[in-house]
Amino acid sequence: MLLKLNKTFKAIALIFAGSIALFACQEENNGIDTNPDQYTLAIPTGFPNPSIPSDNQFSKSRVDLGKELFFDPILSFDSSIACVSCHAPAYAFSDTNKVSTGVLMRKGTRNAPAIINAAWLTSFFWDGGVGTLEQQAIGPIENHLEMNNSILDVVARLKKHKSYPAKFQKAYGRGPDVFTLTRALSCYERTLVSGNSRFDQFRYQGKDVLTAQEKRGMDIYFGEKAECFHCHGEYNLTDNSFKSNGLYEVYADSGRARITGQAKDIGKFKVPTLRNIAKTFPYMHDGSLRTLEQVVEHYNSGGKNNPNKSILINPLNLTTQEKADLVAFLKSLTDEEFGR
Amino acid sequence: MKILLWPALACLSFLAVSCEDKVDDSATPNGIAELHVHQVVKNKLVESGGTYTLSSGRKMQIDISAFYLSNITLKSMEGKEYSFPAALFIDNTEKENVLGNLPPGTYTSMTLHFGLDSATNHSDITQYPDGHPLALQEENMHWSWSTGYIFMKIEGSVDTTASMQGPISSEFAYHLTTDEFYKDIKFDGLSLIVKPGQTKEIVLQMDYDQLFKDINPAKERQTHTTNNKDLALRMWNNLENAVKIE
Repeated sequence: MLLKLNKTFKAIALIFAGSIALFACQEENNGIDTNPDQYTLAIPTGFPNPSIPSDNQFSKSRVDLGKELFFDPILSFDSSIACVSCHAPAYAFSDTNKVSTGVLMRKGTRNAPAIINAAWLTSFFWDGGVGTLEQQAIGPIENHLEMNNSILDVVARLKKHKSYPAKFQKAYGRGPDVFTLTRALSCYERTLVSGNSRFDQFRYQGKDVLTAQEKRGMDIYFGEKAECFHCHGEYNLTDNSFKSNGLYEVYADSGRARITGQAKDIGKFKVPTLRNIAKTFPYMHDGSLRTLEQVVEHYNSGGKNNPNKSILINPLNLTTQEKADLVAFLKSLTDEEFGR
Repeated sequence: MKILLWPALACLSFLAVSCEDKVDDSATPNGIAELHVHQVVKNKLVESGGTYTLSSGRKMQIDISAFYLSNITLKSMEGKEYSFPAALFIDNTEKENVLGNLPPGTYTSMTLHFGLDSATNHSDITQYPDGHPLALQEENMHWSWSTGYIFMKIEGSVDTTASMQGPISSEFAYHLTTDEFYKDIKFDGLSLIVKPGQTKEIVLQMDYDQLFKDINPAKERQTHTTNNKDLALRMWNNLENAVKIE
């Protein structure tokens, strides 16, 4: 009897000790929902998995919240413009104006970049001033030419809103603050994925959906004739570098040099993706080229003399037919479903 | 005895895996070091919106006077160093900045840094919770178009008239920033005696009159550092003489 009691006692003691060991050092839940509603990002064929920040994993409630904020003029100081005002879905989340119009009809200084496949980008703004989408969200809100607001004032507004506090709580386990506001916006922006143009279907899905002219243009793009692929290659049709394409002899906008402070970076801007390029006119950092034909003509000319111009920019000597073929191919980069 | 063995083992395992810090009651309790900053213009405390007269006779109103300090090190008489790396945000509101625990003893020098080291300067500002020194501040101590903090911001308005008897109506803005401006200043001759369990305050004085030495705010009214680096550097170089321990 005594032996049995001993064994029982040992078992209980061991279970007790084991339980203490298992639970003693459990970290406190920091209030963030650890069971988010499921959201799966659709990765296009040919794309690698994007790197998603650990503090901003996808969930349906986060994406919905971010989308609502993206379309809400509450972010601007006079509630007159929203993100969508300069990033229109019908134009691949770009602006058809040379430069965007902010509050009080103030004009910006650069063409609004299209928001395409931002989940795969490593720098934001034309000069690559910030490295995350979360940090990027602050820029337009506080730029006096754009939304002209203080992000702290935006947070204060959201806290007083009749429905936002509950939506933030559901998405992030806490109310509106700088952290959750920037994360909600960027969570939504990461869902803006484009990878199903006819070129993608041809290249990655084996579908013969390009015309003969588009195929000729594709050969010019990826061949030695134009070598566009050097800067606009890879799965997202950009190498994410900063280059000067010789648009000007002297640049009014210092470009990347604004960030690095180095003279060698004057006139260099982020190489944008060419996905949906037919929808994201006008072109260049200042929106100075209105049509794809003008863009092709610029590159065909070899650009202007500028000490920082990329060595990859040289006269192409394309024929009239070849220029037309190249433009046709560029138009095949449109993903008709994107932005709908 | 055997009957008691297993419960004893269970209790020991509880003690072994407990996550609570153990206090060694036999050790001498540390003191706590705090930093307090007085911002002045020639001994007159700076308040937001207050008006001040520089040694040159130039009158100004200061609306924002804020800066970052970081990586503070105190050195004891025995030569031991105790570092407090956390950033402190200093504005002209009354507040105590707790540095941390400091062993009892006599401390004879202090080194502190104006600004932030490169890694901190380029960290994600959105990650910091409200109230954190590196969170977004009302004074907008950050750039929105690039990563990076403004190490020191002084804004207000100044009388630009030749007579120096005119209205204080012309705005000025000095934003000192970028990694290059991360600067250390050493204070020898400190005599800080910390006793067990005592909170000890180090009082620093920032005199803007000295910061404006050989700078005419009536004519040199603006620098965002990258657009007017010469002015930014001259002001930054005046820091050595503008800061002292009271």
